[in-house]
Amino acid sequence: MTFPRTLLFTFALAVLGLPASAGAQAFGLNEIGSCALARGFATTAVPCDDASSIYWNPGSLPKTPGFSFYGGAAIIAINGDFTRDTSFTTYNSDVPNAVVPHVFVNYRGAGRLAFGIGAYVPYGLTSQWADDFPGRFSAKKASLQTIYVQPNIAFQLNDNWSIGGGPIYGHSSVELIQAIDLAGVPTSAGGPTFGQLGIAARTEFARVRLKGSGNAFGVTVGVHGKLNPTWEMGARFLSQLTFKYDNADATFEQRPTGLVLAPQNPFNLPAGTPVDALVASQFAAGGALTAQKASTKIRHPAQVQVGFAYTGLERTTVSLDYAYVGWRSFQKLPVTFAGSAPSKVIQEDYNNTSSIRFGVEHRTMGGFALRGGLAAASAAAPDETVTPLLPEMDRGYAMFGAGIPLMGRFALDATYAHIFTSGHRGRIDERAAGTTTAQALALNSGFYTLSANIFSLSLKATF
Amino acid sequence: MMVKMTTLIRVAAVGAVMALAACSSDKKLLGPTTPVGGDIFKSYVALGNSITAGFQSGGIVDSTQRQSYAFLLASRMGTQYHYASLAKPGCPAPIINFNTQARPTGAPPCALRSTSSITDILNNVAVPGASSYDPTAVNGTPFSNALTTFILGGKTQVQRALDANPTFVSIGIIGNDYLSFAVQDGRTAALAGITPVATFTANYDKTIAQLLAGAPNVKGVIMANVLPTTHPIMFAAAAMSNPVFKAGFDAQAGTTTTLDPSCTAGGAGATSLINTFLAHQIRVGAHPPIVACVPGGASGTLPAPIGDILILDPTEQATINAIVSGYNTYLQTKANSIGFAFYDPNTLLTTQKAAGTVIRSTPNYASPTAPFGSGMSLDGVHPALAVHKLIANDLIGVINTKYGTSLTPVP
Repeated sequence: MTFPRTLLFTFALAVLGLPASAGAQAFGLNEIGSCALARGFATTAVPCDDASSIYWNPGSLPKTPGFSFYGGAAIIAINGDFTRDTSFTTYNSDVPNAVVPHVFVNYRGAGRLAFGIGAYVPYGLTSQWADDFPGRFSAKKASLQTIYVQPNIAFQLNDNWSIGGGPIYGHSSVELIQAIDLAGVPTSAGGPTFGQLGIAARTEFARVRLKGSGNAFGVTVGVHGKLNPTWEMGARFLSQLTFKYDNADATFEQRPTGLVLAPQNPFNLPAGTPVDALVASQFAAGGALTAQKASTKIRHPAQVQVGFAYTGLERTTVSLDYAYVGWRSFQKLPVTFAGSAPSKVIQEDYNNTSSIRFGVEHRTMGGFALRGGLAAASAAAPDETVTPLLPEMDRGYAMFGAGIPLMGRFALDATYAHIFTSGHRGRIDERAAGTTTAQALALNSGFYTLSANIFSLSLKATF
Repeated sequence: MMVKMTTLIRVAAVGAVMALAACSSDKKLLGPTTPVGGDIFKSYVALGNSITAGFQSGGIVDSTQRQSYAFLLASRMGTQYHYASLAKPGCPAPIINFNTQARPTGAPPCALRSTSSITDILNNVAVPGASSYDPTAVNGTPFSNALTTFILGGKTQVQRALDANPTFVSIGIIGNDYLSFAVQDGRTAALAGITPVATFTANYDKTIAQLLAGAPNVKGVIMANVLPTTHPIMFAAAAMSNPVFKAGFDAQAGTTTTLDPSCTAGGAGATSLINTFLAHQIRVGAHPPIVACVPGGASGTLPAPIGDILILDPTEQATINAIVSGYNTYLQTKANSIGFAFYDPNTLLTTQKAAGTVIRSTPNYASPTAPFGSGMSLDGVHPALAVHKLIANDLIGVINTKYGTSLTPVP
């Protein structure tokens, strides 16, 4: 396979791939390059010797001479479940394995400048549950696929310091599928709800699917410096991007409840009347639950990462990074319907997050790289917002990997990582507008667990 | 950029416990709490009818629902208990005066479900009026009523019970297979409506089969039917020969009634049982002011339904008791065959009725608020809190004996 083919193939993978899942805090993803993943994401001070530094430290690119290509993907397999207090029933998540691609190209010639471009997925999410999951009224499926395309330019200030950065174009697709609960629906204008007449909560009579996309622009910058012969440092900043999904499609599907009315029912309808017949008109022309446009807005938060690395050990680099993500920008998730379906605002109230990242890389005499890392991240979601949309919780990471040289110009990086959590209490019901934190906490009705296995493979080529 | 120190400490803590997290979790600590009564009571569901639901004084409301033996039992199990709470003043509101049969002023026919009680999981799926036909009847039965929908919302009792993934059930489908025919009517012809034992058996078998199919490991207790002869609403005809008692009866009836010789010693109906509410029927003109204890009275010439309606003569008592005993024999056999406990409340009722305080042997027509004793509600059929407590404690004893548990009595 020639180089251009490789590039085209991998770039296409990046654009068309399926970013998903929870590999970092909230709906952030850190699986951007197998080398960085293996080193516990602690790669701002001594970046991986490849073009993925366009993301990890755009100021460090002058370190990589010549023409370099780096592309691949991470496969994320999530295991999660929810055990409900009321029935002790455990519901497993139904998240498909996700493929998160990345591709970078960089060139540094004889001058002080380095040019590059990268496409990567810093944010993505797929949360998916089976049809019997009682929290499907909050989220049956939530999918966010966001790709950033970043041209980059870096400048070697002097022998020890370099800076760089570039604009970011982001494209994001969102899909949200929710069940709709008949119990909360009024039987008539101003009348009692179906629930007040006995229909059980979580009686799914409809399902809404909202699907749309949006674009946004941002910027990233980085700096890299050599403090002395054995210590290096780096820092990067990625701005917030706000995606507006203004022309999303909302479609509604009637779901059979299987319920029939008993004799002398409070609806004053004949015994045997199917409940589905009472709501069928909602799906007909002119009904509230017909296809319509919808809009939402999701802020992808800013990131800051600072790291230091020690290179004084023979062929070994030890690095420690601190990362901060401004998740506080994700306070609300508005869902506004253009038609007569009821709009709503999902209150998230996320907090800013911190993570500590530690990585080691050892190069053998034969050019093999052996890598390992550990990382820990605080949850963005507060205790009252651990929900089916994203059962977010504190996480720990352990990973190891290797870089295998191939035919001189190529190298293959392979990494395995595991995400640990200790589980977290959470809720399956949506928080009503205007409720207090205490009221939202009172909705917590079970226990979420989450773990993930990640396998990442990247190909490096230098010319 | 401000980073709270607590956040950093938290991140450090996450890292520190990361290795431990690999092989342990907080699930036991933060997940569903095991009931104090033991794992067997993780998810308790009560099936049944009015008594289990908490129906009292001809009505049902949240406060009476919370007096049900099922509620009390769940509290001793230490397990969760979700029920279809009915908003004040009730659905319908309970009667507040035995003599006038008045309900609270302005009470609507039904004040609907309390919004906060609208859940998918119910631990009490009992529906007032339900018979042995009802727990599995998808389209309802002639016994269905508005509360069937208000409580079950279009599902059956068994379906709602299985929604709760039950580990322990109590089944109190008692009374309605005969009560409305034998006690609340009493005419000989009406007895034909009583569910035959074979049908009752088939119905119950279906209920148990569906329950066990959905919850193969469920444990539980089956309750027996109350014999009409021990029913608090019925009093012995001999009481009418007591002038004081008859004066009270007449006061309620609003007239001086004529006591037919059939009710007196030596009469054919001397051992008949009289429904307390015969006096109310006379008061409203629905029954002549004559109390006879066999159809047609001693002379045989009194027009129907005098001596028949609201009266159980010795022959009828024997017929009904044979049927109900048949039910109960089957229920005990069924309980044994599936490893369930069995509880017969007739001993309790007989004992309490003989004692005469918690359950009076004859009604006190002069009391508008406790005519049947301190433990019975104003309709004479449904227990009030005191009897519910006694039932709950009897059940606790039966359950502890059967399953080796250590549930403590309701204080």
